[in-house]
Amino acid sequence: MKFMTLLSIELAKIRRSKIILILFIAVVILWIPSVANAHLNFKMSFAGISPENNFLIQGLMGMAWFMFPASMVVCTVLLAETERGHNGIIKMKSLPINLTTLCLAKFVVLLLLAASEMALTMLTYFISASIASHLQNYDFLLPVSFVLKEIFFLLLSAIPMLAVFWLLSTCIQTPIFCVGTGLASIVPSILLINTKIWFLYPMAYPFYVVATEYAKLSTSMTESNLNFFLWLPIAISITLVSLWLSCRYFEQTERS
Amino acid sequence: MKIPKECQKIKRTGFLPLFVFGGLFASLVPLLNTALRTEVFIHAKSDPLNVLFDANWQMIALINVLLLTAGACLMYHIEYAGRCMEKMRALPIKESAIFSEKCVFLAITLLGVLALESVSLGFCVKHWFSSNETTVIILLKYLGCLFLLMLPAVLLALLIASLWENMWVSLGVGVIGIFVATMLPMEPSSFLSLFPFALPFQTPFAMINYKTKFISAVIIESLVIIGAEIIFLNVRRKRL
Repeated sequence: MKFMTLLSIELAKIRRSKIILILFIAVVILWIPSVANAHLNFKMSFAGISPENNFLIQGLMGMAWFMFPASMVVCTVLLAETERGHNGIIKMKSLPINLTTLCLAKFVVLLLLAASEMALTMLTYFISASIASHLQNYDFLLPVSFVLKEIFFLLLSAIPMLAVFWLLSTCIQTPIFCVGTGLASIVPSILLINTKIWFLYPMAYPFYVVATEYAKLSTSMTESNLNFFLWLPIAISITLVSLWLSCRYFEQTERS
Repeated sequence: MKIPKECQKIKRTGFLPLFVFGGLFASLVPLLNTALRTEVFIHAKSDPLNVLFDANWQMIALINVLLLTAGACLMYHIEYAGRCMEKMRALPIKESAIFSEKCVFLAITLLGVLALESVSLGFCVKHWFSSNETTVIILLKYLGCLFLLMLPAVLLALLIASLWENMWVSLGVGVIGIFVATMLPMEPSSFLSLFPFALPFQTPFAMINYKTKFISAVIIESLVIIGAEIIFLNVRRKRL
């Protein structure tokens, strides 16, 4: 079977999983305090950031620090568990299909779920920003292209993290250990973004990217540009190694 | 109570190793934090344990809450996977009894995790601070406070886990609950800090300063959650 056929099959499998609803509730909850505390954005002048930029970046920080990684761990559980019932995965693997392609198709589904969560974040951002503008009589809405750029960059920086989560869910067979490890791995990222070795820890990438955006937009902080020279090779190699390993593990479980 | 049965069910799921590793991981937080930033901590004027709780408890509590949510989801996942729950319903066992056994089991496991973390905090005080005020009795008292603050979260996590048969839905809802808790104001005086998932983030000092408020909140929330679970189980049984 071709890759696209497999991908459409994988998407059909999660169609009735209510995962989009869960992701949607998460992003709605994300923006509620931002709207309720919109007046606090005007008090951020000491940091030299404009209220509308602060509104967006604070929201994205809340997303990137905990909810986005945690909901991606939930998505890996979804991808693994939908097929464990009635031995679905064994039936799938007994078909004459390339298992590497199947594994990659599942990873692409994970990417699509991440992208849809980001799209929902953007949609709810525009809604909440217009509500906040209405309440505070101040224009919080930023140009679409700017918001799109920020969110796309956040999503791009999350790919290595997603690859690692996918590796965890394929190599650890007991669901609890994979969930626990995934969720616990999010916690240290808040410490690691303040260190010089943040680029070695993929779970810290999205948060770090948003934090540097914040520093870029505010005048009082020293501008810290992303060091692409060191970061990109490491990020790409983490992604590729994780994907390669997860494909190997995915094939191995069939043989055992 | 058939707690040994719960132990048998959970034996090969990786539940206990996860809690042991999680507890050790959380205990590392104050150790590393104090070892790397000793100067900042030992020159603080207030009580050493107070300093340590202020510096580390948010992270440790987050690990604890994540652990208990994942653990609660697993405890019900093993019942729903393979339709075991239907077989259990055919036995002369009340579903509410299963819930209470799971609560007791999860609470005891978490007490172990909290004890590990208390030992680590006590070690930090002994090793780095020259204070003789912190004794085992005080640590045990704080451990009791932390355990009490954890109870509503345990009950709520198990209630959420029992509501949905699919693990990702209950895990997703649990994670959203934790996310809400991390966004709520943490001052012990605020009413919002009484949200069940936000209670474990409080330190024992807040608990002692606002004793009546927190103890009554823990009792009321626990009763409400248990009541909700009993009502839900009755409704579901009638609909089956």
